[in-house]
Amino acid sequence: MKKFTAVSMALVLSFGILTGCGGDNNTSTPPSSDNQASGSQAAGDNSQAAGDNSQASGLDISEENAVDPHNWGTYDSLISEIRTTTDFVEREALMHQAEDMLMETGALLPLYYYNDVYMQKDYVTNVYSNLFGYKFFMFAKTNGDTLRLNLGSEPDKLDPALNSTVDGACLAVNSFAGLYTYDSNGNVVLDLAADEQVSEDGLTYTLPLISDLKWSDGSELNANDFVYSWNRAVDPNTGADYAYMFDVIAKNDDGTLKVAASEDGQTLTIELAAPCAYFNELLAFPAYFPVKQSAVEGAAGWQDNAGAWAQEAGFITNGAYTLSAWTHDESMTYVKNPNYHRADEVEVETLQFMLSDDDTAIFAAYNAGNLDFIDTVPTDEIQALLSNPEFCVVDQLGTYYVSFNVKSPLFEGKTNAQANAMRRAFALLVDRDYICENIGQTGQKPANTFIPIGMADGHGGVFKENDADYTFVNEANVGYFDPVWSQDNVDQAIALLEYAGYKFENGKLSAETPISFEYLTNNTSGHVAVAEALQQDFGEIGINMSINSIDWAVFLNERKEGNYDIARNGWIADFSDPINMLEMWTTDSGNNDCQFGR
Amino acid sequence: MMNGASNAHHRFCDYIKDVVRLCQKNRKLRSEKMYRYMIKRVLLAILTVFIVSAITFFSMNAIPGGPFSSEKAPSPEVKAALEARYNLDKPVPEQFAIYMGNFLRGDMGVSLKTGRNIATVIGESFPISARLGGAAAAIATLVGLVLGSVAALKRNSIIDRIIIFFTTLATAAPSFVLGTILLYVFCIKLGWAPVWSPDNPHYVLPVIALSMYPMAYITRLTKTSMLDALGQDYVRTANAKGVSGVKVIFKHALRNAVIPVITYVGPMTAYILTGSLVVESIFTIGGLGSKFVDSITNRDYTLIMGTTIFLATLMVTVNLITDLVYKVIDPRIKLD
Repeated sequence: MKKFTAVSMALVLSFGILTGCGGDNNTSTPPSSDNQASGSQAAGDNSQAAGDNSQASGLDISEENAVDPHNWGTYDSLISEIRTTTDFVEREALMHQAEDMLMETGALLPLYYYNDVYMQKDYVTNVYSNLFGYKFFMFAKTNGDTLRLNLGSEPDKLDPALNSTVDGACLAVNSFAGLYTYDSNGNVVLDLAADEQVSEDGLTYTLPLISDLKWSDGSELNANDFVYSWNRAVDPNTGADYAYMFDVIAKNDDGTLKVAASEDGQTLTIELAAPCAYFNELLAFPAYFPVKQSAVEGAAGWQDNAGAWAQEAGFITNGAYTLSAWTHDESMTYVKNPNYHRADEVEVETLQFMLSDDDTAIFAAYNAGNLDFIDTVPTDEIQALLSNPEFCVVDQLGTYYVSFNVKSPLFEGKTNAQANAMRRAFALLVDRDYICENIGQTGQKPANTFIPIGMADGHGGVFKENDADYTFVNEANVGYFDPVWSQDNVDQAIALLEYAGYKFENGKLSAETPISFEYLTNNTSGHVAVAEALQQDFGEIGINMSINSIDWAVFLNERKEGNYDIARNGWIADFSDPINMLEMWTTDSGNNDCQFGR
Repeated sequence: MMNGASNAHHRFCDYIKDVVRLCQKNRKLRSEKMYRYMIKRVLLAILTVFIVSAITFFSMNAIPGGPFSSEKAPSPEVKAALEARYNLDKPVPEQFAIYMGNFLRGDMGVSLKTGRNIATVIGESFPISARLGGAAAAIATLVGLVLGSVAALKRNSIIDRIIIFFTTLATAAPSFVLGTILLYVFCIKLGWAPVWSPDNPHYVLPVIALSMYPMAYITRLTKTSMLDALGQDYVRTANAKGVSGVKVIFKHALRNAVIPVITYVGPMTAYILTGSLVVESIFTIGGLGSKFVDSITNRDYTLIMGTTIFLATLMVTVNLITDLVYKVIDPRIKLD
């Protein structure tokens, strides 16, 4: 705890610069696209004085205590500690510490928190979604017995263990059922489990199943099906992208999970590697849904092609619907599963899915009355739809951000403190309101933390909140800086850049110390528009940013390999716990795009 | 006299026999030549497909990115297991050898993205694209030939101008614009067809969208070459000999004018049969068109290879057929 307090103090001091002008900013008016130029002009006029002020106030940055993004062992240890800490209050403190470290490096530049939009006809009710974008249709009511929907194009995989997409997860939650599920309020609630008993040390979960569970073919479903399904999911030969979601469960010497079914098959006992604050959420995650062994292993070539059993219509499920017809790349028809344990609550008999990702065609089908629910709308239509009661905006747990490659030549010759200060400066130059209002358009919230709004803290509260145990460095704005663009932010940014060795003349970067780099993005119009907005924001103080928009697969590869200076990035959480977004930054993580510790 | 007549008769019979023998020999020679030509062309076609396969295989492996890259990276163990399963951990030349070996045994592999069998994917989606494309190609060719001939015969008339106006418009309008307009007018405004229906997919609008460009192009091509043919000596001679107008147009002018059209129609048919990304996307049709683009975006190596080899084979076959049709239409063309 002492160690934590010491590190927190150091971080608070380091971030002191960012909080300096927070109070005044609450009243500043966000510039629109039209007045942005004039606002920026003012920046030029006042920056010299502001720079003097910040120098006068002093940049309380410690060279010795600066976080070293190249020497990342401390962070890795911190994540290991978080994974094994049994006291959930202390665990939250450690997670704040981890986010503080990330944010001090400035390598993550949060832009906004995601939200999700969909449209449904006024005669459709009781469709609900959760923070991860899953849509639940099984308890929907409509004016007939069929619901016609679009969630996206042809799904890659319908095997819940192999799925890794949000639209695939939507299909999974409507056709399979796990031990837990989400209710219409977004709470995790018991589903196939009748009860939950957790040992005092939080390591053993005993879950009796509700009786008479059946697969869609009428055969018995019991706890052994979970034992089989989970061990199958973690087997590398299955090739499940989400195999790591089972890391919280303890393993036997042979690599299998410490999960056992009772003799009568009615109770499942799970032994965890460490207490897990979000285990119930994992139990509601599609990768944790059961699949029927005889169906999986009855498919030709199943040893080399794990999902072979669910590649055509008619495969066995245990959820509200089963797939009865599949015309690839055109349509899918799901029909009600009479053996679903809550079948009496399912009113809609048939779900028909249009398989398309063509926004124009989807929107046209909705307007022509051929669809009742769509999960996407053309960007050009959003403004006109904002007042339409059929247009729904819901929260989503995720952050759209920009990542810096800490190994970029841009930071060569700088001390850790200077490079960190330089990266943090960029975050203060961004006009997030412009991006949210003109590019996002659906009421996204400007972000000033990496862990998004609404993320749970693991012990009953939310993470992004000032409380007795933790206060964000910018207390007033509950984050690391004021997310609203202001002249004060720009002045702070200039002061940080001056600290990093850059010279300014009349609020503009001096030609003696130019900053020039490339922004990497995939070539989708929305992402390119964000890049252009940043280009303009950075350009206001003379930073030269070029944009390189490339093919999606090349983009992913280049970002993962660290062949970039600064790149667009985003993460939608898989479950509501900050660890999901913190563990991705460990040195060896496949998602460590910033190249920490490398 | 009798003797002389008999001799003459014998000489005549011998002559006839010689002629028949010569004809038979000539036919034999010609069929041998044809046979040799076909063998040569088929061998060349196989070589072409092989070269296309090799270039595609090495190019797709050279570009960055891989089939198992995603925004949320799988664990290194899972990635390694998948790469080992699909031989992606081996050197590229070895991968190519393995792929071609499997291919020759009739195994095109499974999609690295969906796990579905490539032969099944192509086998299911090609007939859909071919049905649409076949209808579009037939309409484009027939209507194009008729409109082109009419425009040539009624040169500089109001009909000619109307035809050229609309064909210029159709040539200039991209298929996504045309498709969207058709969708808007017939599905949304008039409500004659659903934008999407799981039970009753409609093919009229996509066929129109697909056929407009080639139809306009064929119309212009036909008009140009028809005008050229109409000015030739043999047409003038036929007219001077009093051959009927219809016969002159169909037997003399059009038959010659159609040669450049066939040059275009062959490859056009191959392309149109294998689907259109844009039209299939707008009308939600599960054809082959989108597979070409999606496979590359997804770095779905087996699907890239499957679709490329399929298109290359179709293309060389259509080219061969086109060359044979030339010979049927114009015997002056030598196969060699």
